[in-house]
Amino acid sequence: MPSLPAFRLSIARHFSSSTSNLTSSQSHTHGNNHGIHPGSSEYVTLVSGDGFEFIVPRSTACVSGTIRRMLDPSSRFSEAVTGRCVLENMSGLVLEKVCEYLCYNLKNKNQTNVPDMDIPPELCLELLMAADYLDT
Amino acid sequence: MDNEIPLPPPPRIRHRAPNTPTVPSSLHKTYHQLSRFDDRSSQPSSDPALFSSDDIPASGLENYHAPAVSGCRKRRYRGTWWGEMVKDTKRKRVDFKDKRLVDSGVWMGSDDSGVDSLLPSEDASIWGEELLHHSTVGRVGDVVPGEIAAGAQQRVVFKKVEESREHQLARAIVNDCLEKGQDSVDLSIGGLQQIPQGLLRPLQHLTKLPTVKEAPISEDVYSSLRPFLRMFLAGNSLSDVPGDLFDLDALRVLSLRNNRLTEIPPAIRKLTMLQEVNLAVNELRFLPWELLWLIKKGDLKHLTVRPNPLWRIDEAEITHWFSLDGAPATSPEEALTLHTYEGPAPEEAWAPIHVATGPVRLFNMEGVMVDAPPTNTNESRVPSLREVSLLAFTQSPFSDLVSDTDMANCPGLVPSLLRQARAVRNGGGRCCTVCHRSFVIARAEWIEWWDCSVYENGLKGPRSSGEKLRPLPFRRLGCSWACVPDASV
Repeated sequence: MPSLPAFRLSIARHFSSSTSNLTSSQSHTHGNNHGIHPGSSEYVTLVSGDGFEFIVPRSTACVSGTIRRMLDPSSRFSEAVTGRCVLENMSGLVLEKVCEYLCYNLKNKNQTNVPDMDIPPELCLELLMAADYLDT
Repeated sequence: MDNEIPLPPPPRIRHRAPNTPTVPSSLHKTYHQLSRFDDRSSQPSSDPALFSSDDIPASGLENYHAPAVSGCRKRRYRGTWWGEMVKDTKRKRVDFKDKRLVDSGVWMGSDDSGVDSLLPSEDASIWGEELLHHSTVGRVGDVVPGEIAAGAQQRVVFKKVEESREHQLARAIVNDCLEKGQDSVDLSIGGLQQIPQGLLRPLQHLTKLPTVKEAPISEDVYSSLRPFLRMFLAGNSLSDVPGDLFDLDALRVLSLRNNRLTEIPPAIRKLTMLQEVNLAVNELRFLPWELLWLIKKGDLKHLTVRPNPLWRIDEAEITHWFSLDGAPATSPEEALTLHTYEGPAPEEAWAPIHVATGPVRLFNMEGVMVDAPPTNTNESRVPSLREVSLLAFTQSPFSDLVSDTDMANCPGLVPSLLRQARAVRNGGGRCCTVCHRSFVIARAEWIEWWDCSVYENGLKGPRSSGEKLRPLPFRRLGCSWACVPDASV
């Protein structure tokens, strides 16, 4: 198939042109795109071992001590540069609950009467190990 | 003569002779034993019936004029309809002697592997006994044939674990109380090192029996059937209090005198009807704060805690002294003395008095004490993810099923956290003394010194004027770094 490389090239070109457009004018509407301002974007992507991606606010993700150290700009980790944390040892199911917890923690930070969070019993052991890893 | 209709046997074993004549001798032997064994199954001894309507394709009406296949005779079947098989002309009828049932019990094998495991040994003289042994084992274990079919290889044998004599005795006493409707349960039999799980649970439903009297029946025959439950566990060697005990919410009197307790679980708060507690002669160094709560908010009137190696206030570290009205006291002497009064005793001569508070110790998310907590003024009350999942673990029904080896395979500090969670669950759970949230890992801990001398002598009289106070140490636990002494809820 001789036409394929040309086709690919056109896509790549299309993408590069649109990205340059975004950075110049439309960055405020696409602020959750982590690819634009990697170091300082207000959203980061958490990726589970089986490939699920969760885009969460940076402040939410930084509730976890491990993720906070990963994303620390002064650390020069690749996660800090790309704004993308791959958590190989967590399944999408667990990471979803973890993200729910991170939001729950941030939301109730200054509350005196904190509501209970619902944890399905079959997930509690995996969540415990995730918590041990994430230092939350 | 056996008139019973034979039941369908489990999936059949082939009865036909092996079609390959060259069978290794050892295999042949096994096969021989196998068929011989199978003949003892519930086969009728008479010849099976033959019907012309048997569903044989070649004999159907549509094949009536069809040319007979060369030398093919009509196939003849023998056996019952569910297990019919082609009759083997070469095979003779089995001798009656070989067919005789050694054991007329129920056929328990299902397939070749099951038969193999059931096969008797070579020695013909003992094989009947061995078979008998197998069948009795099967019956003791109460295994249904289907289960054997499922796991024919792993024969499950249930053994009854012999209970210790003390446990048997305790069980007998509890059963006796339940039967007679006796609400005073005296388990002070000595030597009881722990209380088996589930022993005390039936006592929740204990009801007194109505007294039957002959006529004339007066008004006072009618009395409440609600028990005035009393539990005496004195003089044993208990090292921890079972969590079951705290589910007996009708308990009025509890004696744990003369045991080896080092700690009273905070779950004692669940016993809101408690009126009298005896914790003397143990190894307690402090009391749970929940006991004080029972005095103030509950019904507790008589608390016996001495003698015990309790912490003494003159040796303990104190950060705040309080005078009678709750204001900071200027000196320990002021805090430790009741003011003088004249005439009838004022209210504070009866009530428990807060004398002092010790330093607060903080713990991190893993329950390890931190020396210098960060000077962050607004601490969050949100439980950590570890805490949330540990709490879910203690409340889940399968937390007992996780074995110690499974725990040891977990990384990091997870095994110790799980063990801690299990201990908390067995003790009946914990509840924050500030915000009342259930928790597993305490994040804050401090000692409050309260004088309860009025309750120690059973509310016999008020403190006398100018009396020296003898406060008791009560340990308070907080579920977060925000749940500390002067926190507002």
